[in-house]
Amino acid sequence: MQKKLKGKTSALNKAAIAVGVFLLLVIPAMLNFGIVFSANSYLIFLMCIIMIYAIATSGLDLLFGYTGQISLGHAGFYCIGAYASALLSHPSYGLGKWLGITISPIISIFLAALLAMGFGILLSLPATKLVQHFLSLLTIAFAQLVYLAVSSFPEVTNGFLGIATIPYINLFGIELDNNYKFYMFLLVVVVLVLVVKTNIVKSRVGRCFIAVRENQLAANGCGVDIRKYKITAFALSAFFTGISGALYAHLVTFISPESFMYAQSVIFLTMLVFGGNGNLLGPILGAAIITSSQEMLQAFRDYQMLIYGGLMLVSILFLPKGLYGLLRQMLQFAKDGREKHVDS
Amino acid sequence: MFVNVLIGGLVLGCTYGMLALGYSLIYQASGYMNFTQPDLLMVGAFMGLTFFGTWGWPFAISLALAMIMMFLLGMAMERSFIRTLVKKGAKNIYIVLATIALSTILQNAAMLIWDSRQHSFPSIFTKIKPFKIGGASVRPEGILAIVVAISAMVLLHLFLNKTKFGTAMRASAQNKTAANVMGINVWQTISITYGIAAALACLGGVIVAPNLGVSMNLGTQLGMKSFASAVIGGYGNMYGAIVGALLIGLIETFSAAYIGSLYKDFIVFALLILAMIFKPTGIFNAKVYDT
Repeated sequence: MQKKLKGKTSALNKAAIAVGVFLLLVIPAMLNFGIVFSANSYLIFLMCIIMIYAIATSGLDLLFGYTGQISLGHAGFYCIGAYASALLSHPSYGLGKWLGITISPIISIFLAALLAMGFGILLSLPATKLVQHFLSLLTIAFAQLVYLAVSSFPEVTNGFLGIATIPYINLFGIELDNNYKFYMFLLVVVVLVLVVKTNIVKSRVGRCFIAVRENQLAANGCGVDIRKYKITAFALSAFFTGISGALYAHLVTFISPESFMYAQSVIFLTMLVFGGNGNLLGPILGAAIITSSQEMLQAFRDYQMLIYGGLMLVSILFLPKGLYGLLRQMLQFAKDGREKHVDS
Repeated sequence: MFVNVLIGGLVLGCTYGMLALGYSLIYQASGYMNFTQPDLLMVGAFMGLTFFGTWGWPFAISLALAMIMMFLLGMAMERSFIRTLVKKGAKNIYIVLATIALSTILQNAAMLIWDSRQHSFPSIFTKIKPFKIGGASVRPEGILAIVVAISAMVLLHLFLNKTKFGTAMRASAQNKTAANVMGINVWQTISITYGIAAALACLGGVIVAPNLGVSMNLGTQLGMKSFASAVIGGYGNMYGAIVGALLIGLIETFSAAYIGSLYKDFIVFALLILAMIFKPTGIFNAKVYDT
């Protein structure tokens, strides 16, 4: 019987994979080449945005979901990633303006993420010592400072006018100049990020993260260096969010300080809490649903933030494990029911 | 110039102080940080504006009514959300998140009820003309803000330390079980605290509205800096809240006047981060370190 059940679940897994491949590969291709649907570049653009948010939210998940440290300042890392990559690769700002050299976006994205990671470590040095509420305050102040920095030094960042015509990513001679190409690239990046994340989470480091989240005293007693792992979590989280910010800059090719305000940090957290934290799929689910709902509710633009707030409150109150937790519960329930059926 | 800037700084500081007092009160009474406080101030200011400005009721009645309504709103928020979460055994982090969600909701609800424009609040003292102190003209509303903030601080301190209810509040923050055994109705105490904090925010909002105007962003505009003042003063301490707020207000106006208004926010936030790194316990040592 056990074998039979296993066979059934793996069939379910296969179905899930098939649906996933269909959603992620077949539909964008159909949208791009105008098969069945009429060609629609905007929808592919939206899927790119979902991917980018999924990376950022996965990064936040390492910090919030696994290590239990709150951050309301991820817009700051996102902003650092975007601006750093833009300034490094743009011919008429930053490096291009001062030294006349530009760095290929594919490298500048990596450098920008490293810079974000550096800031993450810097922020984590005082942050690891603070109680939860003060941590949230410190991270807000950090993001606010980053926002003020990019908006009040117009000589470097062009202030509120923003930086336009950021170069496309050039991947070994292939210019990712349309949304479909960018999407395929992002798909690879997301898979890479998820593989890295799984490996981190399943390793000793990940188990230490969870130990810190569950009980700091006990973790300390078991020889886990709490401070070290908190710093690691901040660094990794900032790195992922930095990558996603840089990718955003090269996708949209225009950035201005308005995209990196406090509300963005709240949106990241809403995605994470609503999707479900502390697992692989939750952040992606959250990013996908919140981003697409944002588009569908375009007509109710004024209500947008109200709805986010409501969603966050509802998920905190009734779905502490998020949508992913709910889905798993439902699957478990269905499985239990089936088992009972077989038993009787 | 100097006197002008000084008085401007004091008024601004007292504005932050009214909010910082609310943060400290809730922190002392329930041990939680409340991110809705600035938005309660904004909603309170809007209520005051509706009663006093739009409907033309007498100022005292408008203020009292707005404060009573905000008191009820604060209690309702605690009853419906915070208490549910605490009873479910949610971690602190989720309670902080819930208050953030509530603050987003309040802000946008206010935008829908009123609108997103900047409203000007009618002057409270129509008969008293602005008077001069050391060559600088001062609006009576500015003096009112200073007087109200200072007296609120003293009254709150006396209330917390000298009255039976204040002692009950502090006891329930320190140890819920022990307070319960001593015959304190812990939940009622906490919910009244939230009510008082909301009413205080409303008072602050109505008092500062003639100086700053009312808009849905009033809370965000003041919120972070009052947090900074509460932290610099020593979180949870009434005197710390006001001292920190005056400090931040003075630093902000002086740097705006002598360094440049573009950098004033930058300086204040950098100061907050520096304070968090080197002296997070603030001037009046608060407990901020994780175990």
